[in-house]
Amino acid sequence: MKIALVKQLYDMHGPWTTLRWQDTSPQDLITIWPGRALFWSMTVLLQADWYVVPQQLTTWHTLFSGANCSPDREIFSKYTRNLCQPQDIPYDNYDVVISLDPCLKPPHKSRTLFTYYLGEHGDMRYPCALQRPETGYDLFLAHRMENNAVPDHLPQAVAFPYLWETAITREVIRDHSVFEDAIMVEWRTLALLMGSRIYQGSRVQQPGQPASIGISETTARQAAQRMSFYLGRPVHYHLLKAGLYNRLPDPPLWGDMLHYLRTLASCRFYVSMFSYGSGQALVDAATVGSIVFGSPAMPFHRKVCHPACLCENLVEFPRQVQRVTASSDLQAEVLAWQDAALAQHFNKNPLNVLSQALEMKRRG
Amino acid sequence: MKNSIWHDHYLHPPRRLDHWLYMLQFWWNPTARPYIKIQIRLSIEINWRKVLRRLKINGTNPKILQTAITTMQSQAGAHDFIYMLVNSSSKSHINHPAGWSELSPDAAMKTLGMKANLEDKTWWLITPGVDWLPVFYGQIEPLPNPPSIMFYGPLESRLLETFWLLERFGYTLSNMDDGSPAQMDLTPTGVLMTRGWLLASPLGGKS
Repeated sequence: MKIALVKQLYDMHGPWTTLRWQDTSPQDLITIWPGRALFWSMTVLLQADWYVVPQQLTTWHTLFSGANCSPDREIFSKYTRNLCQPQDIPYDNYDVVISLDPCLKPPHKSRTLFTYYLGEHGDMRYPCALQRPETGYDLFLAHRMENNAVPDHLPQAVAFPYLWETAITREVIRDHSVFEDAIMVEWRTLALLMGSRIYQGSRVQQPGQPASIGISETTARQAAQRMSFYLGRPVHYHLLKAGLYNRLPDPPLWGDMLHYLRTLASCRFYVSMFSYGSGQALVDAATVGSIVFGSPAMPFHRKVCHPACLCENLVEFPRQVQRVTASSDLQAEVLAWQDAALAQHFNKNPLNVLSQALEMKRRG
Repeated sequence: MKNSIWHDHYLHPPRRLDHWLYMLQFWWNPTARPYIKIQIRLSIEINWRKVLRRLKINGTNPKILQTAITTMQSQAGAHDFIYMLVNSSSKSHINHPAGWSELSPDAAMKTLGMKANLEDKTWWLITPGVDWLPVFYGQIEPLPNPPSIMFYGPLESRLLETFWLLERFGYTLSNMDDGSPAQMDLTPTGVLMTRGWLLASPLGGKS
């Protein structure tokens, strides 16, 4: 299947230029990709082309992040290259088009399958799309996995995770990393320990460095020290800071994704006890080869985590960590489980869904 | 930690007028309307909490407190425990002969002479929002006769650490009613709720 990915100008995710897969490489992509790793791994897996189109619609994400306001708007405009008008995208060259947000007006009677993600599940468009995709689209890809996983008609919303690739990712990431028998704790878990979740969207200003979200560097360091006492090994963390999604620096954080993934890969274990969305960060960690501990409340955690690493409640979490960290046999079993789960749930199954839907569309 | 509609949509209640306008344009869509109502409820709850915090009103319910004290007295005897309450702004409310007072944790310890008295007590009662982890760090482990500890929710998240710490010291956490393993739920706004009374018993790991 030949696949195109489409994003709007004020979308932090993805590369900041229109490009074809054959003209780039996984390493080169990182240099023009300041945001999260999420769609990078997906691009590598699908060997997809990217199209960046001018902003077509306002979304919850653009409103809340302030991406369409100054000064972020100017940063996007200054550094984004090769904008492509939607009507100039050669849809017929592709089997599947995946857009981030319903930013296209798909042509009638096309043989191409048109699908879209909504990255912000708090957007009112999301529950609406679960009932019926936007006009012209064939599939809404519900990354929180609420709907059926198998399409039986078009248009339709299907449970469809983001996609991940492991082999090339590990080759790129492991390059210079130092491996430590330590635990990486996701910042939200640390923030949860320090207070109510409703304050986790707040910015904590810090002298001499970008504001962190939800928790200060000092507090995080203290919490990590205490956690290392409960868990019996070093605990590291990586705070979410201003500049990744909004309040963008000039120039943007090119290469930050590589630094982030290498930080993940440097720790043998990764912990995330809850998240705002589906739990993508945990899958990033599993992709780079960490043993991941998560919560069954998160759809992606349920898919990736070995049963010994799924914590039903927060009280038992340190107990489970110690059980797994104490057994090298169990760790080997967990890693094998995770790799199989990644291949099945974040690669093979979703691609099958696209194939089936494409066949359905072409059969008419 | 149930994955409910609350959990799906708690994250970004509207803050500015343009957020409200964006959200309310979907009001006429019957699918979106329940989610919009949730955002409105969340927005009210969050702002109401802010007001309470600004007014320095803590969330401790005197009735719950009285129930807790009565339970403790029946379980352990009137003079055989220390009890302390700490509100969400990390100020301690200590029940002492002079009545209620608001103190910092350090001052509370000092007022109670807690360090000196710890070894005499067999029961502690801890209720919401405690910033007393240093007490545990320094003092639980060396105790020759570690106390049993009772918990009642709702609890601030920080208390979760206390459970982990107790486990690290060999305590067993259980439900007081039936002895089942301790359970906690996370509410939509991130407050940890115990299910009834929890008992941390030192019998599991320490002698």
